[in-house]
Amino acid sequence: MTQPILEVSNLRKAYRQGGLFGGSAGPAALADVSLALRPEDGKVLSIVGESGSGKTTLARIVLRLVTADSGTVSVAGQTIVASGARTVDNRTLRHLVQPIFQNPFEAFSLQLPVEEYLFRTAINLGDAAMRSNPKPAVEDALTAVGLGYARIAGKGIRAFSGGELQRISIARALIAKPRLIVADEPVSMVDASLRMTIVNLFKELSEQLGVAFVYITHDLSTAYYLSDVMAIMRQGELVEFGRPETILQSPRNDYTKALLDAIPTLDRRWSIG
Amino acid sequence: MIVVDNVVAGYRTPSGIVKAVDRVSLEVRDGEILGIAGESGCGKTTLLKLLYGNLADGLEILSGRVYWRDPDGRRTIECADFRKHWWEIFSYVPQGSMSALNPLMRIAPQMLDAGTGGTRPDMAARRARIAKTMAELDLPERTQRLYPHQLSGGMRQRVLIGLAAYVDPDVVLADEPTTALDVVVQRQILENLVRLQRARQNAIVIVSHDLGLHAQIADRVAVLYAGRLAEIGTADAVLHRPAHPYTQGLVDALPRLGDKRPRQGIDGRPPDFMAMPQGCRFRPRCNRAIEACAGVDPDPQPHQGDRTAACIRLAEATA
Repeated sequence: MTQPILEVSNLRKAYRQGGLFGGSAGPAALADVSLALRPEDGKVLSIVGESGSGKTTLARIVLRLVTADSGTVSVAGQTIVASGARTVDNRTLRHLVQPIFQNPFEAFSLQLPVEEYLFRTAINLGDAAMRSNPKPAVEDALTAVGLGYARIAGKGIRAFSGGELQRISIARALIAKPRLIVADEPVSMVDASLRMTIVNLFKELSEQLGVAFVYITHDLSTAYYLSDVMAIMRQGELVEFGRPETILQSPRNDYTKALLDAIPTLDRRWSIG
Repeated sequence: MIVVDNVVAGYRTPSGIVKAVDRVSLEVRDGEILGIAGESGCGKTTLLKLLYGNLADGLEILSGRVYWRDPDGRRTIECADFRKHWWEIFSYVPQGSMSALNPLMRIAPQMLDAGTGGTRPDMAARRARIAKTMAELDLPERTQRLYPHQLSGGMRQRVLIGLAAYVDPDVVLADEPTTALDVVVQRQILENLVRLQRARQNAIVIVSHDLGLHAQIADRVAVLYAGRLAEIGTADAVLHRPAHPYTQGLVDALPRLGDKRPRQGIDGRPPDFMAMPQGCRFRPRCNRAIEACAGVDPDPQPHQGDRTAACIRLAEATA
């Protein structure tokens, strides 16, 4: 059996709530979640769910921005979290998995030119050659997302649209040559007309560069379009997992059915009694 | 109905006037649900402000006229006076439910306060109407005694809709009312909104960039691009047989469940209001553009009886 690109086992997390001195454990944000993305299944795993479903917590644990209470996470065969604790250093981690966040306007500082982020990533995470001359790596990453270096040179975030900034976020993530990119609601702040451009870019990058994606979203239609494997979460639990075609044709869970019925598509109009 | 007659409106800035709405004519008919679509920065929110008569933040009407007319045409109110009739004729559902409600007040007094304008209306009657509206919105009775932070985002948004609707206005104007919500909650809220509208027979103008949402509830859809009206017509015609290449692009960019065929977004972005392209404003992004498009900024023309659209190549649009 081939090694999974991402494997999550028995992950649990409850945020503490209330109290001046630490409070008590709140409801489970993740209640014993296990899932895997295997190379034979494809390169893109979507995690779909409403607010509070635990999808962002899961993403943040994989990125190690949040500590799990218990459970194991491994990326490309390397365990990065075991029994909730870190097992590799941050530098190794950033070569395995990179983030793309929801709001590209908040991902970059207003004070710094955006290229600074790309150069710093190249210098921090690159090999000796890249550290001494980071520019080719930056240019390659920008070319991969369809931008030229000249377009971004010296410019701050105000010079870009949301779609362009999200491309720059993707270029930054690519510099580290990660095995996996975790994108948390990457197109929800982007105009509908540009959404497909970004989603298509994920598809293209996964096919051409072989990088895998975890695509976190509440939008089932783009998840269906993009993903090879789909996970549906609700209240900290995985309620459905499988190929998008199978889930669409025969949803097993009532919540999945409600989710599918609630999508406003052009193809049908709700009958409102 | 509200009539927008060849209106140019915008904001004065140090570097010049930004005409966020440019030569737009349309009407909001009595009892209809009109959807307004378009990308960010296309003038949707400015148009909504005009329909609400909210001439604040430096917004002014530079030419043309916006007015409200009662069904038998005897009474008209000009845009500048809309404000005096807020709640009575016009009400507004804002986008951010957390910032629109007073965090220090329970829901019931906030609702009772709305639109009283210093008068002392019949409080018992108001209370009864609030209770009825809340029930129609599937909000439990105890909601009225809670503070905003004790409600979920979906409940708060329903309270805002209740607030706008219980006073029984002629027109409810809603700016992206469900954008921050999950699809399941969004569906419930839109259904609530439509049921209220059917019961009260008022008009709703709903601004959303989501064409799928318009396809569910709108009777007619207007598509704005760079401050101009690109297309307006019945939701069925505009969304299923788009005449304007911009509308076509927006429709093509929507992913469909069960369809994995490649879909493309529209390349580029809407033009800067201070640097409009020559001729048709959509020309630089348009896949149907020809040389003649650089010479004319077209006004909407009737097309196929069920809509108007602003493109010189309408005859060649999909039939």
